[in-house]
Amino acid sequence: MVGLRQTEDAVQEIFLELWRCAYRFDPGRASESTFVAMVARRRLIDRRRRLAREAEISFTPIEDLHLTDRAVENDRIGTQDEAARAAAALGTLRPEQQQVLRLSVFQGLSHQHIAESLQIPLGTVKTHIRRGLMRIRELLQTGGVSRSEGVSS
Amino acid sequence: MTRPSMFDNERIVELLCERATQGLTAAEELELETLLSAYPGQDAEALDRVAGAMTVGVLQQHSRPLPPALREKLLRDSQPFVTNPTAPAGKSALRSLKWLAASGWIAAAAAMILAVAGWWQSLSPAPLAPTLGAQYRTFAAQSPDLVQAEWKGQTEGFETVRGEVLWSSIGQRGYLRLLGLPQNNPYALQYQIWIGDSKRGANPIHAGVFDADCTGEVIVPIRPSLPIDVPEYFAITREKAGGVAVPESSPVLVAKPRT
Repeated sequence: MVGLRQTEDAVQEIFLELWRCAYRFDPGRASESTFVAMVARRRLIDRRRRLAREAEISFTPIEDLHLTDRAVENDRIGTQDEAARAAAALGTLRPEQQQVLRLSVFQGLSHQHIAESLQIPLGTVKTHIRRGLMRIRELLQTGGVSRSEGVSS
Repeated sequence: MTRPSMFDNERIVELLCERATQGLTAAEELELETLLSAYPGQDAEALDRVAGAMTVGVLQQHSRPLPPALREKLLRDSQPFVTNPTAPAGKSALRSLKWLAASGWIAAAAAMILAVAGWWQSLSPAPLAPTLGAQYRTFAAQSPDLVQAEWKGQTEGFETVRGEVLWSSIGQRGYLRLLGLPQNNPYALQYQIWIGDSKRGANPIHAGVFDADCTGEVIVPIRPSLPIDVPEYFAITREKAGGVAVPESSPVLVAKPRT
């Protein structure tokens, strides 16, 4: 487990960053929760990159993650449909794209690490990530996927 | 006339994907900023939001409360940001902040941040087991008695396979690296590694089995089943899945250390 001190530092950084970029929030483009998660992710990725200069960091497999505070459900920020639709969109991708995206987004593995873990070329990892993210973006934008129905087009 | 989309620029898309998933170096950030200046007003955060939405989804599925004391402390520490933001906010930022505060969104944002912090807390600080590539490079750089040999194809279909084997007698372990290795069906045949050591008898020593996928590139740790005195040769055969005690087929690749 990461030390409490690091968690506190990370939270402070995220709050600060959120204040800095709050003006960029556009309710027409994303729910508040997605916006906050986006900012938090970026800040945590930056932290990880800083720490990685000293030592590589391990990420717990997603199956073992017990991620959040129930407060997310109780105090949820706006609609969670977007997250559900993103999850549904992820489920429509080719299995290899899903696998690589899950390792990257959920486990935080670097592209290089994914390539070596799955024994596939780095270029293939990047292609899966690019196509996967672009496809999910497209589906979210066009409303081509719904929470329970999968791709509707 | 349709405006050109930044998503038609492959390098921009590549950098945006990198940023959304693993971050950018300072040089890449600068490059992206420069490239994006040709596409003013376009939504450069779209892919970041996709990753954000995916993260929210996974946060919803996997829950465990933060320790109460930590949660309280984090909320307490966050108060200055909520009541007295010190960020360099412009007019539009101030409008947003006012709206956010009025909507009660801040408290919910704090909950989300705490959720992400819980995720962060679940990450291990222990140094990773280095990747195979990193292990290979470290082994090559740090083994004081490094023995190295190049693989040579022995049969049809393996003539173009390239690579080398690294071995340390002190460490009693090594690595092999191969490029262009034909893919195997792991349920039928697997590649098996052997080390020839005449002091150990006529039969080579089993040192592991492995598979090759369609990329043909592999790095495999070598861990012999018995101590090796002097490795006279390394060989790879194709054997039934799971490997065999003594080779049942001819080597497809052999590497002989220079003496």
